[in-house]
Amino acid sequence: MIEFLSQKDSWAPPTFAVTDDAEDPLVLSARELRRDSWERNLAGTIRSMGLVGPAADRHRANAEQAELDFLCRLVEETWSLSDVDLRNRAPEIVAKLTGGTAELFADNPATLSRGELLTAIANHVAGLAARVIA
Amino acid sequence: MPSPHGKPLPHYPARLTAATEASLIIREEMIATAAAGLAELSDDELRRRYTHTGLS
Repeated sequence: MIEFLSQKDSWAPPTFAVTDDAEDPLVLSARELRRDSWERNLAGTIRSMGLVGPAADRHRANAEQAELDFLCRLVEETWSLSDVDLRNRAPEIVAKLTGGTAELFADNPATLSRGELLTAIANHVAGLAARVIA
Repeated sequence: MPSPHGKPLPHYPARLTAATEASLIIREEMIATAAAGLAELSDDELRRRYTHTGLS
């Protein structure tokens, strides 16, 4: 398995486990990919609501937590989907995790098994995030 | 589990990452596929393959 992951994730060392209170690396990668549009939306909301000072800071903190909660729920939900549901929803899920990036995440998703689809999604999100961060 | 020094090791709650879970699911799928293939083999074919391994 280590060999398998090392081959798949040649751009970064694989992370096998995280502590219970830490976010999944996939969630953190998705947050980085969505950050620009998230910042724009947040700034627009704060401006339109006329928030300044501590009120704006509180709104920002709440919005950050809401974004993390959304991504955690999305990953959990994705990993519990059945074979058929995952195949149907994979493009939508990839778009949500990457902030709407239209890039294809796999050559032919219809031919992949559930495990292969999940791996393709995880690799695609992490690979895009690595490019954004680099 | 006690440490070599006799003190209990601290417990750090942890969970597998989503990417690791996905790789384990692939492994389960491969095992299930292999098991399904074996179930379709006749007794003679199974015996032939078993003896072919040199384990008999």
